[in-house]
Amino acid sequence: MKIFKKFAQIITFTIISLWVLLPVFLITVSTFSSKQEVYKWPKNLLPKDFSLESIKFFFSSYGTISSFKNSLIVAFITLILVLFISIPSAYAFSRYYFKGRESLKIFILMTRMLPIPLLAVPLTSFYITLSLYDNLLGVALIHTAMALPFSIIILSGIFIRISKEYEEAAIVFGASKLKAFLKILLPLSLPGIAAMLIFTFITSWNEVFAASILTVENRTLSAHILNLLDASPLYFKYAGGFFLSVPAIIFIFFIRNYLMKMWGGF
Amino acid sequence: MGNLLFLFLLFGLNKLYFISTQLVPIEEAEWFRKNVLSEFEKRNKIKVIFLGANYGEFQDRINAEYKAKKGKISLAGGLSSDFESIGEAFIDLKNFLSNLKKKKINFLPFALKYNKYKGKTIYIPWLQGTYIFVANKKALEYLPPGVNIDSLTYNDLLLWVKGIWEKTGERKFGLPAGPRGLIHRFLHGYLYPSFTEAQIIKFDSEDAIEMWNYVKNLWKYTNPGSARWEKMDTPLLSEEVWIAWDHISRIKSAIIERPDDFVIFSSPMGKKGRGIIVVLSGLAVPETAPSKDYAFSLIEFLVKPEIQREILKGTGFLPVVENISFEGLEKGIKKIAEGVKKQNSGKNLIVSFIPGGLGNKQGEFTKIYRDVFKEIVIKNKNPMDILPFYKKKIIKLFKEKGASLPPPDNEIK
Repeated sequence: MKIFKKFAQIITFTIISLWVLLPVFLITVSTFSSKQEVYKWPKNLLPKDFSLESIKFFFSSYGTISSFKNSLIVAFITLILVLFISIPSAYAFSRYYFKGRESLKIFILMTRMLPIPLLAVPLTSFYITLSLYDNLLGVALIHTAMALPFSIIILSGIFIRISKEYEEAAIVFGASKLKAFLKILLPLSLPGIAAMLIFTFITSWNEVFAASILTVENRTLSAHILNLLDASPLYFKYAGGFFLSVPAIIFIFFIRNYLMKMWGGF
Repeated sequence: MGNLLFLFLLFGLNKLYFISTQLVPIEEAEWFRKNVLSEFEKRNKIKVIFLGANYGEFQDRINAEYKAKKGKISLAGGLSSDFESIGEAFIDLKNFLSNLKKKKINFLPFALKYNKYKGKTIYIPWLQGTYIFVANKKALEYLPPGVNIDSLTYNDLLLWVKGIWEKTGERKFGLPAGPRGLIHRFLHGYLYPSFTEAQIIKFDSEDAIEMWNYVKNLWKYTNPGSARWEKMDTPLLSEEVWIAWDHISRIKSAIIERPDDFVIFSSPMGKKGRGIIVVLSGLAVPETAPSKDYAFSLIEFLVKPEIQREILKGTGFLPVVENISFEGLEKGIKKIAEGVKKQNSGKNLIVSFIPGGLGNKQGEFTKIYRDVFKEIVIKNKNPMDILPFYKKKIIKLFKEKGASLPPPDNEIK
C-alpha cells in the first residue's frame, strides 16, 4: 500500500513538473536553435544546431534593450512603492481596530474589480493632463495600484499571525513602537514580505495592457513584445518568451531561497 | 564620424511620433525605419519615432489624446476601416490632397473612394495589400490533367487537393481558420463573390447554398491543423500543407525565405467570376498632432513613386500610386508583385472591399461569416437552415449603422 502511494506520488509530481517545465524547456530549446530549425516539424527535444541567431536578432531589434531596461526600472520603482505603502497599511489593518476597517478592506479589493481595458481611454486622457503619459513613473504608479490590494492582504495576514506579545515585551523593555516594529515584527515577517515581493515583481513584469496604452516610446518589455507578437516570425516569439520568463524565474529562485531559509522549507 | 555628428544633430532635434497598425511585424518595421524613415530624417532634420500598434491600442490612444486635447502622435497609419470609428479625431486633408495632385502624385482611382468621414477627407492612401494563393512546387504534379494553374476553377481546386489526399494520404490544403486567422475574408471576399457575385446581398441565395456545400466538401480535404492556424507561412515552410491561401503579409515570409520552392497562382474562379479583396491603408493627421507640418511632409514623402517602390521592395505592400516598375526587386517580392499583377489583370475579376462604415460593429460583420462557417462546415448543418437567420442579422447590421454596401454589392441593381 505504501509503495503504491509513493508510486502515485511520483507519477503525480512528474506530471505536474512536466506540465510546468515542458513549455519552458521547449521555449528555451527553440530560442537556442537556428532560424530554420525553429520551423521544422516534428520538433527535436534537444537543439540540433546550437545557435545564438534568434537572441541576436531579438536584442538587435528596435526598442528591445531599452524596453528590457524600462521593465527593470518600472518593476524596481513598483517594488519600492509597494513596500513603503503596504507595510504600514498592513500593519494598521492587523494591529488596530478602527472605524470602517472592514469596509476599507473590501474597498481596497474593489480596486481590482474594474478591468483595465475598460479604463484605457479615460485613464490615458487623465495621464496626459497630469503629464504622466509615456513616463516610467506613471507606469510604476499603475502597477503599484494593481499590486497593492493583494500585497496588503498577504502582509496583514502574516502580521496577524505573529503574536502581538513579542512587540509588547520589547516595549516593556523600553523600545519605542517603531523600534519594536523594526526589530521584532519586521524580521519575523520577512518570508511573508519576500512572498509579497515575488507577487509584486511578477505583477509588474508581466503587466501588458496599462504599460502599452500609457506609454508611447518608453515601453516595458512585455508591452513591447505583445505589440510585436501578432505578426512576428516564430524565432522572435521564442526569444521573446524566453526573455520574458527568465528574469521572473531568476527572481523567484532568488527570493524563494530566502523564503525557504526562514521558514525551513517544506 | 559623420554618423556620430548626425546622431548628435538628431539628439537635439524634434521628434515626430508616427503610430501605425501597418508594418507592425518586427522585420517590416525595422526595415521601414532603417530604409525609408531614416532618409526622411536626414532630409528634414527630425527624428521619427515609428510605433507599431494593434487596432485596439491605436483607437484607444488616438481617442484618449483627442479627449485630453493634447497629444504626442503627429501621424497615424492604418487600414481604411481603422479610421472610420474615430474619424472626428483627424483633420481634413482635402486641400493637402489636391496639392499632392498638383505635384503629379497620381493615386490609383479606387484608392480615393473611401477616405471620407462626414464630408472630411480623413486619410491619404498609403499602401495596398491583398490575399494570395500559394502552392509548393511538390503539389504541381498532382494538378488535375489539362488544367492551367492560373485559370483554375474552384472545382479544379477541389479535385486537386482531393487528388493529393488520394495519392499521398495527406491533407495538404490549408486555410487560416484559427481564432485570429483570416478565414472570414476568404468566405466573404473570395468565395461569396465567386459563387454569387456579391458579398452580402446574395447571402442566402441558391448560389450561396451551392457555395457552402462546396466549402463542406473542400474542408474534407483540408488539413485539420487549419482550425488552429492564424497565418499560413509557418505550415507552408514546415510543409504541413502544400497549398494555402492567406493575406500577403501573413504568407510572404514563406515565399521570401524559399522563393524557388513556391508558386503563386491566381485566385480560382467560381461560376460568377474570380472574387478577390483589395485592402487599402492610409495616413491621417490627428487634430492634436504637435508637429502637423512635419506630418504633411512625411506623408508627401511616403507617397512618392520611388518610395512606394522601395516599400514594395522591402515589405511586399503594393503601391497606391501609378506607374511603378517591378524590375530589380528581390526574388520573393518580385514573385508576389507579379503574382498579384497577374491576378488583378485576370479575366472575370470581381473586386471586393472590406466594408467600412461599420465602425465598432466591424467585428460583428466578420463574426457572422465565421459563425456560419462553424455552423455549416464544422457542425455539418444544412445551409438552408442557417443562412436566412444570418442574412437578417447582416442586413440589420448595415441598416443600424447606416453604412453603405461595399463593392461589389453596391453595383448590383
